[in-house]
Amino acid sequence: MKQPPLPQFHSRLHDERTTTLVGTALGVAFVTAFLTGLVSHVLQHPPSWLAHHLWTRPSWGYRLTQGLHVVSGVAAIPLLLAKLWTVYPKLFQWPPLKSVTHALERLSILVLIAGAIFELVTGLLNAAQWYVWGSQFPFIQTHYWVAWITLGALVLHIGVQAPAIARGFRSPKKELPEAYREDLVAQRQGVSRRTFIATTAVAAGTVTVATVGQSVTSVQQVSVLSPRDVGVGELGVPINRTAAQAGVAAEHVSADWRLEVVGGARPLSLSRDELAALPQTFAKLPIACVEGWSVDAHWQGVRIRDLMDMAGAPHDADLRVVSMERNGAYAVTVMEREYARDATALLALHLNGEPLTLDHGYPARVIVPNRPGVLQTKWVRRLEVIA
Amino acid sequence: MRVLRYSAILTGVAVLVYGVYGLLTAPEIPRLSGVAYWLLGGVALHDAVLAPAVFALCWLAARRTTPRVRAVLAAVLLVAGAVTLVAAPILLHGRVAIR
Repeated sequence: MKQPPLPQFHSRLHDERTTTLVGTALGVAFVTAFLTGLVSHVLQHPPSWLAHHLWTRPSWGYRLTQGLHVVSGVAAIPLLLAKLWTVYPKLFQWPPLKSVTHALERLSILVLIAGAIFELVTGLLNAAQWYVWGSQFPFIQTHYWVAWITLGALVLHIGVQAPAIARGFRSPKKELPEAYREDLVAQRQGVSRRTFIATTAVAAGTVTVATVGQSVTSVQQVSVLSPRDVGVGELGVPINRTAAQAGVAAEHVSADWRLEVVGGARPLSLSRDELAALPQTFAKLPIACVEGWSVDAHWQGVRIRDLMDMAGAPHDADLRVVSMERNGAYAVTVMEREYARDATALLALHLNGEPLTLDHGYPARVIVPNRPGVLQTKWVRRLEVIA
Repeated sequence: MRVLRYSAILTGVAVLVYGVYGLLTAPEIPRLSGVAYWLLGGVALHDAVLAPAVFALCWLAARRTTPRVRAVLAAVLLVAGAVTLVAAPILLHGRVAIR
């Protein structure tokens, strides 16, 4: 086949060293995002063999990992752009396919790039709660499975490119002093590698600082692109889902609301006043969302384990938490005994010194350390002991 | 080294196949056309629109400017471009409503 006219690329920065350095930073960002994403997935849907081995400490663990998840994903955006820029000339290699192995390798690169762009774009849009894809695919499961595909393609890519990566890590200054000097002269004609790497780092740093304020409250002032303001909203805590969105109306939580604790030897039925008359516990716990935002708050309420003991629940029982919310996948959730028995796991009645508002889960809500926000059930109606 | 390299390749293929199997069999994802559209759309948008635009700018800068100016332009392009992309959801859709 005759070679068609192909674009020519003259910059010396399309070389193995630049690609290796930017690629390493990108790889670290992607692996961080993958692992922290896996943490969230396991905490939200623990497989049965793991369900009783999850930690409640540190209480800010979920806050940290999910903040990191979004930070590493956002920082990966300029890193991916820079990485793709360095290797873009390879798109026009001739002949396009040399052998079956070469074809498979190029296919794996396509999978890697497609997966990487997909994960960053859908993740960024999800953090802004902008579901552009509508009903084309469900976000959670698709983001999860494409993450596995992308990680697999990444590990495969590192294996295939290992010799080039090893060459890229060799310092030309030490090992090839002559070539290095020639390089210096040549680079005066264009942008130097050092400038390119530094610029990429500055871009990654800028977008990180500009968005991290939703998880690190102290830098909120400079985080102008943070998808969400934290520390504002009712009682100083943002609300992800309002009572109206959850199908909970004021009449459902009127004065005759009672908390039922069933399944134990002594079933309980308590009004809100009776709950408030029980020994109260105070806890400072963050509420943290998978979308990366989080905020610390002061909670007051009754220890869940005290309620279970009063209801005659066995010591090793798990708990099913039933909410009054009508629509939503988390209306009925399981709280494993490791969480339920924690000294700071509360059925909270107060938030930051004030009674809960309807949108914050009035009359009573769950707050447990180191758990995803969606499992901090609001508008609790019933606790069922699973013996 | 060789062993390490080939085990990375095999592990990568295994993880990739696991992901593809999961995607194909997930009951929550009934149609794959939407996912395929977004997967390939992202690559197409980068390779056929964004990258050619950037390389056109590079080509123009190489002809018209000195290396020093070029370094500054490259820095502005990468930083401003990244910030614009990250800000796009907020600019186009607005911040998550404060409640």
